[in-house]
Amino acid sequence: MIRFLKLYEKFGIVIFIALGSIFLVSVTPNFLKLDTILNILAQAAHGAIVGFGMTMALTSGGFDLSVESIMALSSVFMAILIPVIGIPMAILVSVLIGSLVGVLNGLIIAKLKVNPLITTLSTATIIKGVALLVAGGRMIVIMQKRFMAIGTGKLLGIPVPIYLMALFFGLFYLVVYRSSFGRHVAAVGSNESAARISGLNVDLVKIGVYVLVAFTGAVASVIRTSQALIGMPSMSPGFVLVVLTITILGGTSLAGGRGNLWGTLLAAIFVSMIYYGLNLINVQVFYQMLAVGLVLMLALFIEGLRVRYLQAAKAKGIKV
Amino acid sequence: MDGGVERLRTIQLTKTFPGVVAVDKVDFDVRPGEIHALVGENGAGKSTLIKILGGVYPPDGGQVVMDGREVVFSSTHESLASGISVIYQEFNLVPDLSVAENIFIGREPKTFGGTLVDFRKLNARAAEILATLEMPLDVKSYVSDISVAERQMVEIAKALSHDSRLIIMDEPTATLTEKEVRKIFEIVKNLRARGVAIIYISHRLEEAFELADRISVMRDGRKVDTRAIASTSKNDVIEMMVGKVVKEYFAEAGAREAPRQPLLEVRGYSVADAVEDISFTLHRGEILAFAGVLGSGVHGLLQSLFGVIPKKAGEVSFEGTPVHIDRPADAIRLGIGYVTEDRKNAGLLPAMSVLHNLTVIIIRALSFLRGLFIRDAAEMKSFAAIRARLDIKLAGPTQRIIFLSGGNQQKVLIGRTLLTDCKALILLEPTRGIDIGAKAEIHRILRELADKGLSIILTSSELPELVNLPDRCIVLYKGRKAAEFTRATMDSEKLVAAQIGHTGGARA
Amino acid sequence: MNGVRGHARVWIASRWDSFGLPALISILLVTFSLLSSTFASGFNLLSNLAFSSLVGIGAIGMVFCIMSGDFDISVGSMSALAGVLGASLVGRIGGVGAVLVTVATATVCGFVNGVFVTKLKIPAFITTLGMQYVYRAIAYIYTSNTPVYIKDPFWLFLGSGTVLGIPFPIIITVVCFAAAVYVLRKTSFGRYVVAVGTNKTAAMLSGINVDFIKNMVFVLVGFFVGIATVVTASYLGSVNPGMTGQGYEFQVITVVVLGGTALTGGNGNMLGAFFASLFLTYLQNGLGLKQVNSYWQFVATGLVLIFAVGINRVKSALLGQREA
Repeated sequence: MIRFLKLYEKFGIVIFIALGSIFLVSVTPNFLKLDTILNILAQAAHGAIVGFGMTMALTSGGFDLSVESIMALSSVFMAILIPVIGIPMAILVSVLIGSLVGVLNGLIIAKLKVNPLITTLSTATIIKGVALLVAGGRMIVIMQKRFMAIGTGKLLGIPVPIYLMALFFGLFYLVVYRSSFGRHVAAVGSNESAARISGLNVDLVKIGVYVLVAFTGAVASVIRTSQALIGMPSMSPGFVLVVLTITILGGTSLAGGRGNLWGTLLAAIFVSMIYYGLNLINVQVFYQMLAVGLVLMLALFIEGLRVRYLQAAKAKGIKV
Repeated sequence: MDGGVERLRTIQLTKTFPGVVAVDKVDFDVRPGEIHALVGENGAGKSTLIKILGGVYPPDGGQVVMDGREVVFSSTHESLASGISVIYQEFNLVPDLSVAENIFIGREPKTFGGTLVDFRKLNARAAEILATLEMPLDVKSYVSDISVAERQMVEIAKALSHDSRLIIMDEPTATLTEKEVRKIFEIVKNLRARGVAIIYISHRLEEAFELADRISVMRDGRKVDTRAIASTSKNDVIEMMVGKVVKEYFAEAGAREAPRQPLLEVRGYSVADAVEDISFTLHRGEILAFAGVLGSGVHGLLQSLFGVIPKKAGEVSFEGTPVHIDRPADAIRLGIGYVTEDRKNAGLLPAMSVLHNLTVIIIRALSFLRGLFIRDAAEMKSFAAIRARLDIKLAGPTQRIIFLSGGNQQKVLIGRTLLTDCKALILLEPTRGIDIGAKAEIHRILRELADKGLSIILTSSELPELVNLPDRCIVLYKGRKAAEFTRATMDSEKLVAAQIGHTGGARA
Repeated sequence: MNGVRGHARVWIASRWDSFGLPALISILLVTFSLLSSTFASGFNLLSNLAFSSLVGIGAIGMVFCIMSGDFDISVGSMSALAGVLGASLVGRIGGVGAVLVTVATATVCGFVNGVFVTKLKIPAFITTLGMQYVYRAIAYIYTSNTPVYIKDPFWLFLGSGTVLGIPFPIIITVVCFAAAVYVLRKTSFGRYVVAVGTNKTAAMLSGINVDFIKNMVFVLVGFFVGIATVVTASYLGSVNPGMTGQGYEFQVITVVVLGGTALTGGNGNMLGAFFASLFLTYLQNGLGLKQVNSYWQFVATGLVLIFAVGINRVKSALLGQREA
């Protein structure tokens, strides 16, 4: 039992994928067709990409509730800038602006030592206001149809978002598991005082983390905006919950130090599966919202029980 | 003056804190390729000394000389850069990183333009270091998965990776098994063979005598003497540690009647990672002390008796009836009080006033309808009674407790338990961090309480307290009973000997 | 800290809790009155005083919560769910019953939050973040995303009625705050909350049932949110599963922090929260009347919170206290 519980952290998500597959198979005979699978994967892309960023945030011992607003801000800027400076430059600038918000978050959390909840909750509100202001409160239609290519285009028959998801997975894999920065992030989340004493620049690490989360938010926003061809100042409400669900379900620990990037990827696919299936059986949007919330609470519930069991075992003297 | 350059020499090193001279003009030296044991009772000044050498505290006087040149450091990094590594009792390791990553944290070999870690080189270099010390560790394993002994090895490897020429180890074997201790010994001898100077702090004299070349004894901030191991004995060392001053600290307690009526009976008590199969009886009006060094399990035992941590096995009877204490509230209801050793982090309620700190434990009794309407007058009365009884010095009841002196804070914590009219009181380190005058006062208070029938269990790492205060003293070593002393059989040297595992002839 | 400037700072810091906020409010009132005659009208001032009950009453529970060292960001959704549930049942169980259902629903929501935090030891922020969506989703589903209007006279009176010329919401607010201040100062529960918030371990060692206190605190959050929902739903005349309570959690937390309650737990400032709710309401009202783009309000509210945290920090530092 103990071995199972310890392995669960790394591989539990596989159980969920299996369950999700069973669910989908029962709901549609088309599940195992290539088209469906590609569809599901493509839909998982933006959740996965922001999930990678959020994984790093959780690994560092914090989290970021402002990604929604950052996405909205980037979306608005893209819509405004594309007609002015062309698609590639607009994307660059919007992503940059989104990332700057990350700098703000990082500075407040690291230097002013305000806790991540209050900080990101505040910036979420402020940036939401800024996005609405810049957009004048309206959704801005993007005329340049070529922009759609990013979100809806296909390369060799595979939707572009899937390539992006794979690309970012690869990048983040390198960063999280192979770069010194990524290892320092884990160190900070695992034992901040030891990290500090060992000479790591903890403040810089934290700022870097929040910049990365914001960056992923901006990138996901590019995909979404391109799919809708509209700059949306109030983009994806509830998205931050989905991202956190993905990250926690995937096995990344809330306590910090242990980021599970594979888990996040698989969990994003799982959530996409659920959405797909629910859409197929014509479940309303609100039930989907409920579903995601319940999945998160279930994941937390399991985690809570798991930790308590292991603690009780330790108290009994059993080697854990 | 010795010929040849020592690795480290301190000259008249001094460090004072408000009210106490922690390190008092200490002359001390370590040679290259030497294992130098540093022993002394708690409060002797050992940890302050190594904190100075580690760059945590700047000295107030004296000099530190490394390889013949004076060094001054104002940070831990500078100390490290001078070639000194300190391995503290609580390791500075990151649990979720691998062994190799921990060794080279912040200095990882890079590749790919300096962004990615070159894991091959990292693991290879780490393996190299481990190999030279003959440590059987997998560099890729996570620190959270390895044992305490293995973590010790990682810290040592870390020190070596800095090319440290002096390694200071603080109680490296306190929580290790026999086999693990052997392994650490091998490694330390290996270090010595490579010319590293080692300061080895331990309470276990037998280890010091097996490992060390020389031994230095500290007492009350001063260095008593440095001797070659070959030309001294354990008894000599114990005598130096204890000194003759012990009995002068406190007034001789008058002869106390031996208490007879049992109050608390404990049988077969075991706590995970603390004690195995402990049995004892606490009598009414008795002061019973538990003594033991780090790793003896005393704190775990007492915490478990009060319900702070769970027990693994054992039965407890209070006033004749079997009881189950699973949480502090259970114990308080039975009439057992508790004063923590960690005043700052576990005892005081920092945002609250002295008044509230005192009365929080019985606030319901001081109100109408069990908590619905606090009677200010009743609260004040309780406060005034305790303040007078314990002579607590403060500006006023509404003063925030963090502004009181350590001694007065401790009195508040004791006063808190007294308000519950408890029959038994458990105190962990009752006078830690308190000046001599307040110490004597608290001892007087405890004795009076015991005279009036209160049973007291205490633990302390201060020898004078253990010698003078209790009616009985049980010594624990590595989780089991090692010795027991009564007032009649109390002998400070035998007490210290039992604590550190040297029980030749002292078994009660 | 020496010199006149230093002394002046410390003097202000020690008086801030009692006079700082009222001073701020006065400045705000005067400024906006000068800028807009509509603002200065008795009607406007009075009706906003009544409207402040929404954030004010909700803040009461949150003060307890933050004092005990936790946060609850599901209050907005709790409000929506409780509101729609109660309002939709008016036909079947009458106004009084509906009001009770609203308060009860919110209280139960609070209890559920508390169970997750105390029994499963899941951090409050993620628990309440998750439940935030669950509650709101249930509200959407239950009403099929349509607003529910309140026509029951009893309920409407609670929000728009007056007693001796004083709008009823103000009376409810005063009563609630009075009760809260009483609980804080004169009951053992109040002491326990402070103890748990300032040092959990010490509280436990003193025999306090920390889990119970934390659970109760979340229940209180729900309870007061329920009351606030009742009053506001009546005032606005309807409950909307999508709109009700949006951004509520942020406003409530801002009010609590601005009111002087330390984010790190421990002492709480109930009266301060009251004044802060006035401040925030008038600020938003004033900005709205000056035709300031409502989106600036988001920015402003966000900045107020950061500003409030900053003030608390500076105050603690000047007074040599340990918390920030």
